Amino acid sequence: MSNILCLFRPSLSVELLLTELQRNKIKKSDISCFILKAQTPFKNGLTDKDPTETTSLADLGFIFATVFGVVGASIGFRLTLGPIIWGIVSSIIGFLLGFIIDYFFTRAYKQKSHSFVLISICCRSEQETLIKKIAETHQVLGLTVIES
Amino acid sequence: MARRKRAILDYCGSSSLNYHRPAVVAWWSAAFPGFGHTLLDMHVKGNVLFLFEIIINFNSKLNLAMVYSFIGDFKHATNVINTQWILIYIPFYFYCIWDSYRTAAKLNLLYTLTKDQPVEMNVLDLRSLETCFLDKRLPWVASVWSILLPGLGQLYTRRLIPAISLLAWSVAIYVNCHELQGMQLFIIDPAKVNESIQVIDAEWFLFIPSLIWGSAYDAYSKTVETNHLFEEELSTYLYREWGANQSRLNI
Repeated sequence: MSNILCLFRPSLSVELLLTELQRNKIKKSDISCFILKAQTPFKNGLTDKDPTETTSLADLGFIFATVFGVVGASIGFRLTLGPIIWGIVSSIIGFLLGFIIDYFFTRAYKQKSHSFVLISICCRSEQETLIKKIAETHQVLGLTVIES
Repeated sequence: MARRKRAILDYCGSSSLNYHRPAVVAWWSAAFPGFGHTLLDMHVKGNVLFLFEIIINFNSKLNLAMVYSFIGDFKHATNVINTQWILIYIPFYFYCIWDSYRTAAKLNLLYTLTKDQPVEMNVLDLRSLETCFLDKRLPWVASVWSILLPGLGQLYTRRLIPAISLLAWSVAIYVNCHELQGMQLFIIDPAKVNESIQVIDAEWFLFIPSLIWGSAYDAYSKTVETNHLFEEELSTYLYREWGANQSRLNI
């Protein structure tokens, strides 16, 4: 008997893999899944800023783009190239500026960590190659075999 | 059965409780009244406010006055504004900002109450009318589609109601501001730059930056949220159905 451990990102392919394994006569009781949860560094109180909140890396970029876009487009009515071009240019400048500020100053408490799914499959030695092949077609990140 | 659901999915899209910085939501209400509420998945309220914003802003000529103010032509700015409409605008505007801030703060409290509970939800709503399912999508693709035409990113990230209203408003605003016409004139003959500026309607044109960037932000952040939701739902399922306690584990 041997045990195969494989690591995945959580996605639909995990479920496809489980279905595929069952179709290949691997029993459900021989498979176990573990969720490796992304760990958040610290938490101060319930209502404080949520460190897992992932959207905020682009918050300031979109906000600055709007502000710069409105002002740039308005002033553009007086400039030679007109409001469209100045609106676009100032929006892009605003977005980059906001993004850079967010990137350097707010990134510290937003370190993004990923969740993973670890699947352990218990099988006979002759099934190993088949399972490896199935895992490879489902975007496996890493795989190891433990002989026992 | 949990008292408060964390997330739902039906044929109009998915919705979940999430952490939102109240200041960011309030900002989007300030940029375009209605957007803040859309970000919080309050689509009826958001659409009503959106409609009012356009009616009141258009009639008060607020955007036009803003253009004149930014140029430095304060005399024109004062003359162009409609006093009656602008006085309606003021309470309306601040109500939007205040209400979205307050709601975001309250929803954050509900989020902290529910975030540790497992995600039990419908992951596929298959109907003859419309099909919607939970999977992972790319946040940047969503925002690029919304930059190209506000509303498309919302369609991509399965937000049917804001997608339809944003698409309708995009068409209305683009057609009325003549931006694309101006662009066309400029591209065909760059010497006709003045003519291409004159063709643009400043009142409608100033809706565009907020519309584009607001919907791009909405599409981006909602895709990130739904991807997160997908992972949590998958984890709940795997833990329940495929966890170590369900099988014999021998390593």
